[in-house]
Amino acid sequence: MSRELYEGLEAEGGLLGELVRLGRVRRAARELASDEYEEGWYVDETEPLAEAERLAADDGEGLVAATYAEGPWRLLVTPSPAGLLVLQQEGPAGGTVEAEGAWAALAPGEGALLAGIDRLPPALVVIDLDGRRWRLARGPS
Amino acid sequence: MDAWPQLVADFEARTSTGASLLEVFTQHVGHMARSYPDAYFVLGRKDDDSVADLSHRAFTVCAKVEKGRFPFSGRRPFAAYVAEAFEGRAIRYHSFYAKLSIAREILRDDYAKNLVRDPVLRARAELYKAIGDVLKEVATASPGGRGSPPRWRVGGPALVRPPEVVEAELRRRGLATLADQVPFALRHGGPASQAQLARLLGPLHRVAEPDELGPTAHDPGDVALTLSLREAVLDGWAALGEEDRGLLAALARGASYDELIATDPRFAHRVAVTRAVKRITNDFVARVEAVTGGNSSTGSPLMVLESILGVLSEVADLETA
Repeated sequence: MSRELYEGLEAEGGLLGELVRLGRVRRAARELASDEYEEGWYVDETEPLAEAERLAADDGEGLVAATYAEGPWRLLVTPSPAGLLVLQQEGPAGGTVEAEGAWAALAPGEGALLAGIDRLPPALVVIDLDGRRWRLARGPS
Repeated sequence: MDAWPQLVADFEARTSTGASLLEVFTQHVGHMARSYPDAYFVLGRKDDDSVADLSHRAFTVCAKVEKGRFPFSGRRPFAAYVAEAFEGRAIRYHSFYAKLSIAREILRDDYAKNLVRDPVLRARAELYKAIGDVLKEVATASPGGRGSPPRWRVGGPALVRPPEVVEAELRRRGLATLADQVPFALRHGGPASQAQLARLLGPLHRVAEPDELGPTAHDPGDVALTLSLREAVLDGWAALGEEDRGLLAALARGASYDELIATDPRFAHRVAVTRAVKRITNDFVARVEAVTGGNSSTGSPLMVLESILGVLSEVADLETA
């Protein structure tokens, strides 16, 4: 009951209700702005990327492109500040690539983004149109 | 040869006024900011003045404000650049080009303020909040990776469709409520952040995107009223006990009930909430309404409410969830 009372104060009206409502909107605004900031909306780095990406990796691991291949699939994966950029070089249409909880639809010859991943994983999983799962191991950079 | 390291070093050593550094700083900030819409700039207007303002504030942060995160480690950014002999490209990267740069932090904070002040933008914040309420009911969150918000999902792996296909399918099926739209979008669009869902579902709720908006109106406010409000808010705050202050601060920062209970278990009891609300109404709200006039039929202007929360933020933590 105390939960309903607390959460219902917004609808009570009056100055207190207005303050409660504004407080909740301000929090939502902060969190929305923070999410978009962390996801890199509108981010477009025009400085040469190689050095910038190396600096972003404070663990000292170099950020370079790598290929992932298995069966008919071959993906070129490049880290970026927004996540892993995945280019399908070989394989059929309609696949889905997965890594560390992020997903992206694949299209031959087109790029896709696995948002929020900032380093190359040892393997990627691709699910084809038939639902078959392919484990693509990381190849040479 | 890149002149930036020397420009920063001279400014730090006070052997220059920093005018040359500020000039090139502003050029780069303008270049970085070119992709952002009006909604991200002070007063909701992107023009030469607001970009210069952004540059000056970013420069001030680099010169004066100690930052805890990598790579500053509690130092002022300019001081860290000099101490570690950063190259020019690294200085520019951490100051404005990086995803999590100093200048982009300021854009984020200005955008958050505009999300509250602009009525059209505010609908985006309210949609985001409503989506969050549904997500807690129907989905599970997983970490989004370093520097990224969590991703929400329902069910197991499935074929993921592009956002425009998911939006078209939502329209075709006539799913009108968030309770129906959110799980459908996650099931067919794959794991997504709360902000990504807000962007996907915004058109279905006629919520404009940041780049569809014009400049945000700004009310400079009434100085005399602001000063009277300040006095009333501080008097009202002083009149409250510790428990009541805790509840008022939780309400003002938008804390959930669970977050309130985590910080003060006394509010698990209804009577504690009821009594605290009554005391806040009598001792705090009454003082403030004596200044504002307490017009409940039209509601208080946003400027008045923001002034109240602004003063409260000086005496209570209104940022930490």
